[in-house]
Amino acid sequence: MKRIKKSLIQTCLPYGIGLVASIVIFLLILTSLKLDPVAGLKYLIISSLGDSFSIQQTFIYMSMLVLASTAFLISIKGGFINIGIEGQLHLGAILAYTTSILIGERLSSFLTIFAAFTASVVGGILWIIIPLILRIMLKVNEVFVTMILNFIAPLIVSWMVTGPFRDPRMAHPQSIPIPVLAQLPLIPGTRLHVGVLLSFVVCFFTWFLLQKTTWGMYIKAVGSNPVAARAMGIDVEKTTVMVSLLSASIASLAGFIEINGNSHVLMERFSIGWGYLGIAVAILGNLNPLGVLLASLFYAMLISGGRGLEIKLGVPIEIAFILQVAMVLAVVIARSWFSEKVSKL
Amino acid sequence: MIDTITSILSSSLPLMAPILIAGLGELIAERAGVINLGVEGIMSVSSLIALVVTYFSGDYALGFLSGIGVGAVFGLAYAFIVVTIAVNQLIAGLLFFIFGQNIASFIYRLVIKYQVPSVNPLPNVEIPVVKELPIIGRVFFSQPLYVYVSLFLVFVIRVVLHKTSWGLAIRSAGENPEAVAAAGINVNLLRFICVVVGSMFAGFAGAVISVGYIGLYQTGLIAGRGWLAIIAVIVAGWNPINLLLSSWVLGLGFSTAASLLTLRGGIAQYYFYLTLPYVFSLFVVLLIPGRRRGPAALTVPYKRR
Repeated sequence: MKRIKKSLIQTCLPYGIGLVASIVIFLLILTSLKLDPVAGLKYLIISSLGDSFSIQQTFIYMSMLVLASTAFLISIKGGFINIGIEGQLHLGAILAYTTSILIGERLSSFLTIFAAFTASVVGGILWIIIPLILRIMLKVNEVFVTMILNFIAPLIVSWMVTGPFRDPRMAHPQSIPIPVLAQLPLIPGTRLHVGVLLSFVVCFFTWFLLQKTTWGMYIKAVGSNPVAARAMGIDVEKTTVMVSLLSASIASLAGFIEINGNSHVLMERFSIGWGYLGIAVAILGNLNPLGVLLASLFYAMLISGGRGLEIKLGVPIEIAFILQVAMVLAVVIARSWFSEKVSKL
Repeated sequence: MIDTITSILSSSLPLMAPILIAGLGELIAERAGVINLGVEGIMSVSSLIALVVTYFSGDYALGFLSGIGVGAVFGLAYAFIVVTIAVNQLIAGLLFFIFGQNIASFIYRLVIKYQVPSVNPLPNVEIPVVKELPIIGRVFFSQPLYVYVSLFLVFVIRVVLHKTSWGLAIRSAGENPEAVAAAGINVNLLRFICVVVGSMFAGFAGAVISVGYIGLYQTGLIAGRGWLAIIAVIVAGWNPINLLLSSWVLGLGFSTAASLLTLRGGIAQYYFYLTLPYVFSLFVVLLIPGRRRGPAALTVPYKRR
């Protein structure tokens, strides 16, 4: 009983500290902007959960974070550090969009969406092939290659949006919208598109894969100790390939649901940095699917709340991201602090 | 043709400088055993602050100093987190990167509500007589001050790292911290200092980009150059002279793209050229031989027994 209590505290206390840290930073920022922190807190909560519109907005943000963080967590579990999620989701968006436009009205809605879905996955895979090959064949660390690709992907989007796919009716560069057939259907009774459900399904599938299948066992073995895994007869290269392809596919789906579900057009800077926020969420959730779900929800609330703060009080929405990162930093520090003795300077 | 080549070469040096400077800082930290993946984020904030300070005070030196100061602040925080508390360096660095980007965006959004700051970028320092030499004159003897500063820093770091006892301690801290501790040196204090110094270099590099090179700030100004600095260090095998070469190669990638951008071309060409520095850097990454090891204790926290 005492051990359960102790490990429970060890898991939860860092979160408490993280929460305190982000509240403190929130107070600091608001007071230095000469704004009333209590009003700020009020708007934060109202804008994230106050009415049905806000709640649905929160779930939409949550779905993006769930996909991005699941993508990161599965790659880390398999020993492949995929920080290229931002780029992969861009490619997912690019290919899903292009497919939706090219198919036009010719096929049924289901087929169109399925094709866009598949194309999106292909896009993600395209963006992970180079880092994967470089890692397997030349032992080049994937951290840098995946990161560089993050900078190339948005340029492709910019080209499409200002060039071949530009909507001439819009003053601000924006792509022509996807056909209605390609739009993700809504969950009956809500204004949420099924992409939200997809993100939960993917998260569940990842949990199932990792906890309940042999493949999951191999992935975790390779991720924690590749030398031992190889000695046990596990095909390390094959597992690495599988984990990275999975990770990139999941990441690309974030782009898919953003285009086919949320905005229905391709725009420059359509991503507020979901790929990077996903990394923070995954770390906050301690790399397990349930933790990641909760962390995504919390962060999504912060983003909706931040939007509200921006509208009502003029605080730039980046405050939400600052709070998010401050929180996960505090949690990470607290976790390290509690698990090891602190080295003295 | 000669003109184009000369201009590509001569504009490659101001573009190399921030990568080189940030890289030198990163090199110091990594030789001591600590990797800082947050360089891009630190540069984002320092470039913004340096520009704002220069704009409102009119004092360039103050601007550069404040950029360095920003680096110092981030460095202190990062060093505390990864050296004192021994948080995983990859995680902490990534989070600092994201943190820095968002802090910079936040401050920028606040600032532009009032004014859009811009300053005149630094002019070239012309070295008389030699600057008239064909090609070489323009490339090597007509550069902004920070280019010469960066080259000087290479020399300084090379000497300090390889010819002084402190340099030996730093290098050993990254290879075999136990040996350094046995010699009576406080390993973590040494690492702490190296991280802060490295971060100050990154801060300086950010200021070079905004105040020195372009004279303004926008989101995405750093454009991956913090990451390229880290890559440059690895490609250079953690050696300052090689770092000069690897940063210069990366700078060439940017200056070639910039030169191509001035050619006539449509939208497709425009964005294609913008991707060139990154595509180029992917090839540069290939130059990292898989088997080359970095400092043996890199990313490994040192615990006092």
